[in-house]
Amino acid sequence: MERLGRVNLAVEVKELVKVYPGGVAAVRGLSFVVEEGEIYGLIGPNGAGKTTTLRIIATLLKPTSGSVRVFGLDVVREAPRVRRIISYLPEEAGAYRNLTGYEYLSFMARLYAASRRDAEEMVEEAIRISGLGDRIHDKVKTYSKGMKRRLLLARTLMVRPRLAILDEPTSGLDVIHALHVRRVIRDYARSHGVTVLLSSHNMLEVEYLCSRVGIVHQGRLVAEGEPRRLIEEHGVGNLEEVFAKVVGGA
Amino acid sequence: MLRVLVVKELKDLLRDRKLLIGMILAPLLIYVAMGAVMSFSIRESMRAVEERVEKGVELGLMDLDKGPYSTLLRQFLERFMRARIVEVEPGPPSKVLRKLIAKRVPALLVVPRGFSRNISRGLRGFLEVYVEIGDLSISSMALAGVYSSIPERFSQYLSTIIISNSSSVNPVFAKDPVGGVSKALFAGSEVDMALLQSMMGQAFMLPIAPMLVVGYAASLAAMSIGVEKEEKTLEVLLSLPIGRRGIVLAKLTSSLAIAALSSVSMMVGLAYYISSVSTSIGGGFGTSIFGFVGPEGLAMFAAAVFLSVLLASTLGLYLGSFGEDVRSAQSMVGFVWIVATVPLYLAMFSDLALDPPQRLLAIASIPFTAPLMVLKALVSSRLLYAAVSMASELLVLILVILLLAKRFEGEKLLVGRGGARRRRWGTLLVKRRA
Repeated sequence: MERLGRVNLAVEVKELVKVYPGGVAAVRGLSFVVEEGEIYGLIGPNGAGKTTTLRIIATLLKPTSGSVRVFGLDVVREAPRVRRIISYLPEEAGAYRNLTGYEYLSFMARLYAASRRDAEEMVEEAIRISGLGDRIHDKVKTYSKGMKRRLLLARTLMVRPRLAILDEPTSGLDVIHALHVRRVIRDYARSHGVTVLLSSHNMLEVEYLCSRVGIVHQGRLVAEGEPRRLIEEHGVGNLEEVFAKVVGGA
Repeated sequence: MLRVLVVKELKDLLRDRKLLIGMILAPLLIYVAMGAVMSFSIRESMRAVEERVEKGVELGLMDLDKGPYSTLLRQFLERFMRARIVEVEPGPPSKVLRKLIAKRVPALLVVPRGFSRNISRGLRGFLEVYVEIGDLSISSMALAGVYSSIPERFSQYLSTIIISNSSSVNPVFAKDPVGGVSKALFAGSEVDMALLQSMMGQAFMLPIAPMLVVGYAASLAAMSIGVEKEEKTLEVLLSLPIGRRGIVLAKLTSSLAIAALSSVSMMVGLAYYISSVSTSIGGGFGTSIFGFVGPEGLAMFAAAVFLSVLLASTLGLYLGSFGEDVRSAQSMVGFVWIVATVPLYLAMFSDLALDPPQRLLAIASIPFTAPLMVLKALVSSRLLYAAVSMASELLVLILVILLLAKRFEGEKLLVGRGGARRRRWGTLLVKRRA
């Protein structure tokens, strides 16, 4: 962690613990860092604490203990400033059904943009990212799940956040839509230098997208590194087998 | 197959505790509470009237007849109604009654010239009764009934005397020798009793309109937060670079717009309803309850409705935030109906002229009574109760806004509460099954 130096850190999670009201401990001392400009993947079985961690980084939940910093800003004490530089895509996010895709993007753009012109540029970019074409002028309630996800991803990226937090970005999508989403994430992160922190169950996706991954199990980080290095270290054929080995032996 | 499906549906519905409260407990509580409120109010109203009658009624007497039967009438009033009579000089009855009201004498009985001469000739005599109606309530109307029944009661008394003294008298006359005309002084104007009865009917309908608007407003507001949760838009909304208070303010502003539209729509509908009822019985808008309060009064009533609707929206938004989806958010609104309906009826049955001021101030302090209290305060010229009611509603509104802002500040909006309790119940069930 120290080797990276604080200036280059997009996300710094230290000894993070989250216990929900009712006593369920979702995260139990999780620590990891995400470098600026990288695509970092959090992987782990259901209930490992991935979504809780992302929600804490997105300032939606407060940690029980530990600390989380985004570009040096504390997510609890400086939450409003953190919200200005991040963009969060929840796993099962929806959009306002009775707005058109265009209206939805315009509404979101106006919250971030300094001027009307900036907002228009953001929307234009989002339309391009989403690939929805003329359907952008249809109401969201007429969209398929894949179209909705593309719209939401476009919304997340169009604001050019310093950190994009994507929770299961391709969950429930068919191959075509999933491919589109993955390509958009990779290209956008590269071309705009956006740091991406994502969670996924799909090991292929993680291998394709992420420069580094962290495997989370029962609220703790059990392995971390570049996908190829992890595969070599564990002497297996792919990341899925690393995952099974690490989680199974944890 | 059907049984299996029905069991599934029932389990799904009945295990939603919010739905149970909103859909089953709330309607039960509303009617139980309304029944208790109405029976209490009616009992108290009647007791207040009986007490006044037992003490003896007070009335002014304008005797333009000065004959034997007007003397008999005076004796009847003093003996059988324990009336305390205040003699008044001849003059326009409404003007004389206003002077009497200033001396806390609420009624005037006018015995016209020729009253005794008519009865002596076997012709029907007529009395005029003028009564002050302090408020459109059961007690005021019951008390007015005591005064307006004087001609009929005297007629029965006189009838027995006439029948026992003479056998050759016209039986139609002997059965009912005295008739009467009753007029009321209501909100400073002279009104026919029949019109007043109609207004009383209108007044009983008045709580229904605000109640419906309040209910819809609360439901709409609860739905707006329920939809955010159900459609999974809330998480994104809360992660945007806008203050949580901004989100609350935006939701409240849109509720405010809906509340304003709703209030205007209700006022137009209610004015049409009241006007058409008044017209159908020979009056018009001027003789309706709205006509009496005038444009300024109507504006005040609309403002009170607006305040109640805004409070309902805010409360709906706050309670709705405890639901997980649209269904449970809306079922929480059942609480608003209980909170709003019972006080509205409590205000309806109260009498601003006759009830103890402490009780009236307590009722005026309850949220959602403002529309009724304002209207009643305007017709009875007791504006203190309108002011107290509006101020109290405003205070509660501010309190709910603060609670709402606090709710949006924390993470409970996303994670909810009661996890521990639910888990314990779940553990208990698993253990029992094991």
